[in-house]
Amino acid sequence: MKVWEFMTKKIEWIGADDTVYDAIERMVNKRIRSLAVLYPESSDQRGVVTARDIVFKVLGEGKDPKKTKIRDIACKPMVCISKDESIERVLEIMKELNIARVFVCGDGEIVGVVALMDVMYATLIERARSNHNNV
Amino acid sequence: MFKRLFSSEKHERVVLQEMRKHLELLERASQCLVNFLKTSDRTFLDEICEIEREGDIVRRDILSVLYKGAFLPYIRPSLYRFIELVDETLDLVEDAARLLEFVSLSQPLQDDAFQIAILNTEMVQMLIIAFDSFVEGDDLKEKILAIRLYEKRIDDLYHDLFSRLFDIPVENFWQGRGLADFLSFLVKISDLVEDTADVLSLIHLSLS
Repeated sequence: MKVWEFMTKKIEWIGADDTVYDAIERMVNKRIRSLAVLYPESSDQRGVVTARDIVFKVLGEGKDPKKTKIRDIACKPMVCISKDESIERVLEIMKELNIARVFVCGDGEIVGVVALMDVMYATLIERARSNHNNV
Repeated sequence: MFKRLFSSEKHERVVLQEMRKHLELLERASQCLVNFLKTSDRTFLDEICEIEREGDIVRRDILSVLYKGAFLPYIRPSLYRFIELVDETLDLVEDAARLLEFVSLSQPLQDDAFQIAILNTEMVQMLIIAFDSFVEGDDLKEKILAIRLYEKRIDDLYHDLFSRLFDIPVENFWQGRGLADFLSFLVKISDLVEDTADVLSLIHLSLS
């Protein structure tokens, strides 16, 4: 299976100078676990902030989410792949970099995101298909 | 499973062959809908209508063989249900294609609808794989799970799309109604395929 077949197109963005509290609000409202980060100083720079970053780097450390900026905890650069890559390649990247989501790029734009659950779904579907083909 | 239980029974063999044919027709119709979305070539719509009529014939053939006494009576209601669901899905593919002729889709909507149509086709292909496994007496679990995963994916796409629908300008009431109906038909196809897979799973269970 190719990335475009199982990626999620819905991506939420947040500014690097917004607060962690803004990110928490956005994640709760949209029921998502990560946000793509935009850096106002450079349109080429992009990062990602996840619920894990917020819990471990802010809440777990006793920092105030209203006073902590996204740029202080966001991970960058954003890991991107082409939408024509295979699921196996996504899995390799995730294992290698120990990350739970990979962004999908096309024509210089971010067009989607692939998370661990998407990889799990795609792998199960492929398994069901290949089991049949092997019979 | 059926192969082992009923390999010598002519009626049962005919029913299973026709059920497979019915599913193949559904796959062809789903693929035509994908092509129609991609190219707007009206010949695909005509082909879908033709397949739907063919599907009705196959459905009637299966029902008449079942009526003649194929399979044990306790399995027949589930088999009827399976056949009716496949037929309903074929009708829905035709309805969606007919509407598509009249609605205009903006580019992002077109992309999403295209992706849902592709996933619908893959889902039907998985249903055929599950059906083959059923006939061979293999385990269905993984195939049924894959079908559920497809359905969930389509549902997610639709909910995302639905939240954006209200911001899309439409020319008049009927354009809006047509667009909403087209998208809901497209998504309902996956619901029906999932229901069909559940019935298949039920038949499988009742025989084990």
